[in-house]
Amino acid sequence: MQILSSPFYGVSGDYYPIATVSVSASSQNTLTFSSIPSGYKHLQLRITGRSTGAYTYSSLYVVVNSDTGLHYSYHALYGQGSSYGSSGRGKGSDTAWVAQNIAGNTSATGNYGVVIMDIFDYANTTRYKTMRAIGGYSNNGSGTPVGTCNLNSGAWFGSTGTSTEAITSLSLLTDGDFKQYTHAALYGIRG
Amino acid sequence: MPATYEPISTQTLASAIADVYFYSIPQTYTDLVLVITGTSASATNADWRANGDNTSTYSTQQFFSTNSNTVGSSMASGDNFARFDNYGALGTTGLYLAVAHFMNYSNSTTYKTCINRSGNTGGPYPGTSLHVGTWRNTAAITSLNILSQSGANFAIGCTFTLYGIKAA
Repeated sequence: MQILSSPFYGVSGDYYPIATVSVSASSQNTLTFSSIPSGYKHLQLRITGRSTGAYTYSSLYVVVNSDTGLHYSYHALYGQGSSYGSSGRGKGSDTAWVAQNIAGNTSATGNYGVVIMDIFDYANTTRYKTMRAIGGYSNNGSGTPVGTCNLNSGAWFGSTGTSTEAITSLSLLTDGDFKQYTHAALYGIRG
Repeated sequence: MPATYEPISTQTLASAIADVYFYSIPQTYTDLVLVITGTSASATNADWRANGDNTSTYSTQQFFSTNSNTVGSSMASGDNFARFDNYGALGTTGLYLAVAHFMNYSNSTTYKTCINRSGNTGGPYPGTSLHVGTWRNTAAITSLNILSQSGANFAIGCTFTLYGIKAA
């Protein structure tokens, strides 16, 4: 049996809401979770999002601890319409996690992409930090691509590129700004 | 902040049926998570509809593998249901497991989208898949219908458990 979307389902009592960011104005450039408490084992981000970018879809980027150095890697498996493939880059190419895709502003009005990201062992200080995420959107057969399904994973190699500090903040970015009604919620899972 | 991820309702089938319903879903959560386990009377797919709407307002992007070496991706548009899986993933043998997330289901401003990962160990198409299905309607989801695409019954013992997650 394959590992499914989250190891955390069905663990009522161990799953805690930490903070929510919603875009109430017409748009917002960055969604930030700061001062993340260290008392959990793992984090989960749950997002419904749309960008103002003039695309069918836009990438979702996640910056850890305000670090915009080339200290991130990612790999992805994806399906887009009837095509599929893989992509990725090792450390030294990206200044954020290339975490997922959300809907862009040329997708159907009302269409928002969805993302669930797990960040493992975020508070430890002895290992690089890793994440995985599932996400995508469906645009009813129109646009390019007509939809996406993505499975992404990534690593953050610390603010020096070789350091192992705890994660204390997460900032979400996209191509353009986040559109009104974008919603991001952060949860903590007890170990 | 109190813990969340609360069970709302569980249905364990005492008889084989083709449609499972969750009515009067509380509007007090942010996301819903539906966990499905079981088998079917014949190879079929599990699909979903919201609020009893069976018009052509659903689409699904699918990314899947079947058997040992087949990988594929496709878009199903203009359906009167959205899909949890495809290619007869719900078979008569082996175990089918799906974890479906209905994101931001109670808002009234955006279309409703479900992302689902499923896998099965037996039947003609063992494999795994990721599906993103959208209902092009901004209404809050108040009921869900889980149905088998070909009308094949979900087998006795299938379980359908609905959870609610409330954001801070």
